[in-house]
Amino acid sequence: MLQVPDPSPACETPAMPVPSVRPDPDPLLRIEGLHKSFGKTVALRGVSVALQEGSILALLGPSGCGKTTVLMTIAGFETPDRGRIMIGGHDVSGLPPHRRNIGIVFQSYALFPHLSVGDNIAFPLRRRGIRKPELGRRVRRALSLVRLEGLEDRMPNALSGGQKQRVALARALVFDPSILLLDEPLSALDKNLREEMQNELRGIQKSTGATVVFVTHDQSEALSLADQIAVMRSGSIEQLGTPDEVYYRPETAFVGRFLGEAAILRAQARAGRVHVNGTPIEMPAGRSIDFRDQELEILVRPEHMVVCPPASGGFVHGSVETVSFTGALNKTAIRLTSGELVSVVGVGRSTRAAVGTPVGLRWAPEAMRLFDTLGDAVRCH
Amino acid sequence: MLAVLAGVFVYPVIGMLERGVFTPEFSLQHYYAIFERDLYLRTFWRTFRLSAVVTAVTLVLGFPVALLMARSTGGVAAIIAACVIFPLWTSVLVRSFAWTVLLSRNGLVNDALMRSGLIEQPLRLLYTEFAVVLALAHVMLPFMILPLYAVLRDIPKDVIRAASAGGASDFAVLRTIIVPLSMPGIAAGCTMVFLVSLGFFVTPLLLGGSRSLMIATLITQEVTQNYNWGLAAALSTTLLVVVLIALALLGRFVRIGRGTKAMPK
Repeated sequence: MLQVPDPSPACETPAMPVPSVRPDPDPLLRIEGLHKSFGKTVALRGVSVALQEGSILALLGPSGCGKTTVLMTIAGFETPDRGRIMIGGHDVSGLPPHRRNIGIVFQSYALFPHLSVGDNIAFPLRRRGIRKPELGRRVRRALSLVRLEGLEDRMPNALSGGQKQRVALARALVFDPSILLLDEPLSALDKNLREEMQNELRGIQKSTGATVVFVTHDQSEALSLADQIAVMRSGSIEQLGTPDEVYYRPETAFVGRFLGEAAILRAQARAGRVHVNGTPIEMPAGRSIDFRDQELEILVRPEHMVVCPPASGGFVHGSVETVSFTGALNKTAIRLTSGELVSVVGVGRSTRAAVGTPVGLRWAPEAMRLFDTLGDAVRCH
Repeated sequence: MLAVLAGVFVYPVIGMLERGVFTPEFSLQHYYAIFERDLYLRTFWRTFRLSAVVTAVTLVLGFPVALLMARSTGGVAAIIAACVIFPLWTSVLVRSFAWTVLLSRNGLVNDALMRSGLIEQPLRLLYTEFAVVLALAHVMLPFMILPLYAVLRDIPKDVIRAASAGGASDFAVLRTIIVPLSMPGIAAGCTMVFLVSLGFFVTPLLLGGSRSLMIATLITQEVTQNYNWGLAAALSTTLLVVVLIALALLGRFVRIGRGTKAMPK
C-alpha cells in the first residue's frame, strides 16, 4: 500500500503526453463547455469532461465548487446557460429528466416513503411500462445485486442507513440506465459502513459495467473509487486526470493541497537554481532547468519526506513537534526554522524521532512539484 | 386551564343537550319534530351536500395553489402566501356582502354579462345554492390551502427528483408521489373545510336566502324568531352527533396526524 509509484519529475517536457487531455475517440458521456449562473453567483464557468463507457468519474472539490451543479445538469434538473451534454453521441441538453434514462442516488437517498422497498425499486420499471412477471424478476435481481433479498415488503422508514442506500442504488440501477449518478454517496454513512459500501460500490460497478459519475468532497473516496478525477474549484475544473496523475502530478498548488497532505514550502528561483531559505535545493538530474528569477512554492508529499540528522544534507531544518505512531505508519510533525509546520509519514522504526529533536529534511528531487505565485505548476522552458 | 375549558366549552354543550330534552319538561318531542318535518331533514341534507361540494371545490382550486406555493422560493412564495392569508384578515361578513354586490340582480356579474350580450335577462344568481357554494368556497379556501401547503412543503425535493429521474413525467410524479404523500394534508384540509362549512352561518344567510337554507341559519331562526330553544338545541345536538360520526369515519380511512412521520427530511 505504501509502494509509491515513480514520483514524477518537477519539470515536464512539453512533449510528454498527458493521458486525460487526449481526446477520447468515442466517449459515452461528453460534457461541453457548461456555464451556469444563479442570479449573480456564477456556479459553472466552462466545464468540459469526457467519460468512456464503464468507467468511474469523480467530481471532487470543496463545497460550493459547482460539482453538484454539474451532476444535476447531467441529470437534467439544472439547465446550463451555455454548453451541452452528450450521451452516447446524442445531445440530451433539451430532454427533461424523465427521458434521459439516467439513474441517480441522492445524498438523502430520497426513497419514496409511502412505497415498500419492492415498489420503490419497481417504480422506474412501472414508468417504463414493464409488467409482471418481468417486473418481479428484475426487482428481485436488483435486490440480490445489493444483497437485500427478502426485504421487498419493508417500508423505507424501517431500514437502516446502509440499507436505504442499497435500496436507492437498486432503484437507480434496475432499469439499466446509461449513466449512474451518485451525489456524495457515502457521506451519510458511518466510517466502517463507508468502507464496506465503497468496496461494494466498486463490485457492483464491475458486475454491471455501469458508467458512473459521482460527487464527493472526500479525496480518499475519489482516489480509491474513481478511474478519472475532476478536481473542481469555483466553477471550473482545475485538473482532470487519473488518481495517480492528480495526486502525484498536481497541475496547480490547489490540487496539490486538496488531495492528501502536502508540505508546501516557500522558495525562490535565483540564477537557475531553487533556494529554500537561502539553501540551494538539488534538482532532478538530466533536466535542463531554466527558471526565471521568481518566487516559488515547493510541494512535497509527506511520504516523500526523509528525516535526517541536522547538518547532513537536509534541505530544510527544524525540530520534531509531535509524533504519532499509528501502527504501520509514523506521522511526525516538524516545525521548520522558518515557522512552517511540515508533516512527514514514514514506515518502520527508523522513521521515529523523539519530540524536540533537531532534524533536517530532504526529499528526492523527482518527488517535488514547483508552483509559481499564481499556483500553476512550473514547466521547463 | 382545564377548569376554564370546562366552564366555557363543556358547560354550554351540556346545557344544549339538556335543553334539547328538558324543554319544557323531559321528552323527545323536539327530536320527533326534526324527523316529522320535511324542512329539517331537507335542510340537513342540503347542508351536507353543499359542504361536500364546497370541500371538493376548495380541494380542486387549492391544491395547485398550495403546490405552487410549496415549490416556489423566496419572493414568489411570499406573494402567494400573502394572497392566501390576507383575505383571512377581512371579516367574513364583509366578504359575503361583497358577493351580494357582485351577484345581485343589478350586480357587476349580471351587468357585465348583459353588456357583453351573452344574456338578455339578468340571471338569478343571488339566493341560490350556487351563490352559497361560491362564497363559502371563497371563505374556506385558505383553510384548505394551508394544511396542503404544510405537507407539500415537507416533501423533499430529492424525492420528487428521484421520481423524475426514474422516468416519471410531471403528471406521473403528481399522481404517484405528490398526491399520495399529501394525503394527511388533504384529509386535514377536507375535514376542516367540511366541518366549518356545516356550521357556517353568515354566508349562507346572506347568499342563500330562504330557499337555500343551511342548518345553522335554521337553528338561529328557531331561537330568534320562533323562540323554540328546545328545537334549536335538538337540531344542534343532531348536527353535533352527525359531525362526530363523520369524524370517526374519516379517522378510520385516514389516521390524522400519522403518515407525515414516514417522510424523511
